[in-house]
Amino acid sequence: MRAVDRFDASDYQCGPATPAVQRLVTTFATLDWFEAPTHSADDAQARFVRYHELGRAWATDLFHPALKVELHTGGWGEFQQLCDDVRAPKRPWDWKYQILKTLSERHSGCFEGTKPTAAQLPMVPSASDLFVRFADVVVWNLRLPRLDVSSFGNDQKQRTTFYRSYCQFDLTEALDWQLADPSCRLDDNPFAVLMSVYAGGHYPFHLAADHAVLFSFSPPH
Amino acid sequence: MHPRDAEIIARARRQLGVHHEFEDAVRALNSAVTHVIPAGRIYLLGTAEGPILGSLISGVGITPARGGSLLVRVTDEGIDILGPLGARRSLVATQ
Repeated sequence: MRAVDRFDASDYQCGPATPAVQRLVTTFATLDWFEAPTHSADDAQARFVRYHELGRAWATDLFHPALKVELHTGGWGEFQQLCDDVRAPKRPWDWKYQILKTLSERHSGCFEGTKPTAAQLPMVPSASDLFVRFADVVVWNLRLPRLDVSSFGNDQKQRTTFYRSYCQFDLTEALDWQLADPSCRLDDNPFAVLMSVYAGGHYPFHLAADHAVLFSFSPPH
Repeated sequence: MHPRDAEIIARARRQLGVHHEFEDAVRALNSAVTHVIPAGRIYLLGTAEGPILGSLISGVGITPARGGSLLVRVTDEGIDILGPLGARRSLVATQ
């Protein structure tokens, strides 16, 4: 499933991080979502391990030394159950908020960065402004194209919307990484590597510090 | 509402009076988000009568209303009004 709106990232201008920002946003905006994988399971697993190693290089305490990565293939029922598992409100371990956000915060703290200050930002954004100012607060303005989920039932719609937002979280962190350190190669940006896992049709669900599932949809019969 | 969103909203509310400017609500929300979430950020989620600012994942955000701000949730179907941010009485969405 691809986005229904046309999208052009070429207007995004972010100083020295511009090429990486444009590439990351374009990659995300043009993904074919919730289809059978285009990358092999071995490739996806190797990329996920690579992401984990890159994260661990920055924050040894946050990334488990013996991660088990399982591969699951199935249909919407299994996908929806995994979405519900990672969304459960009282999970003792939360991948995105406890681990990835902390990783991002630590990385940003090591660089002067190239993100604009509030005073440098417009109050009325155009579609190509990555940031905008409200009061004296910097607000992200990432306008990505929508998927047409109108043919989905409510449950399916909720889970696909959730999961795409869940992945957009990684896009934001990948962009932040490049804005903090524009010299970083995308291959060395853990969030960009993570994006490449689901770009190939394998959807990560990190259920515990030492346990991740890469889910892929069964090919249509 | 997810407990994380509820905590952020509760923190923002404590900084706001019944009547407040939308800019004060944005500052309060930003302060609460950065307190609760490492590298916490606010996103422009869309526009109704005014901008909607909030969480990318949950779609919960705030938008200007007469005399204050409304708490809303942005979904694929549209915008659900969850109630006033800084007051218990009803507010009317406005620019």
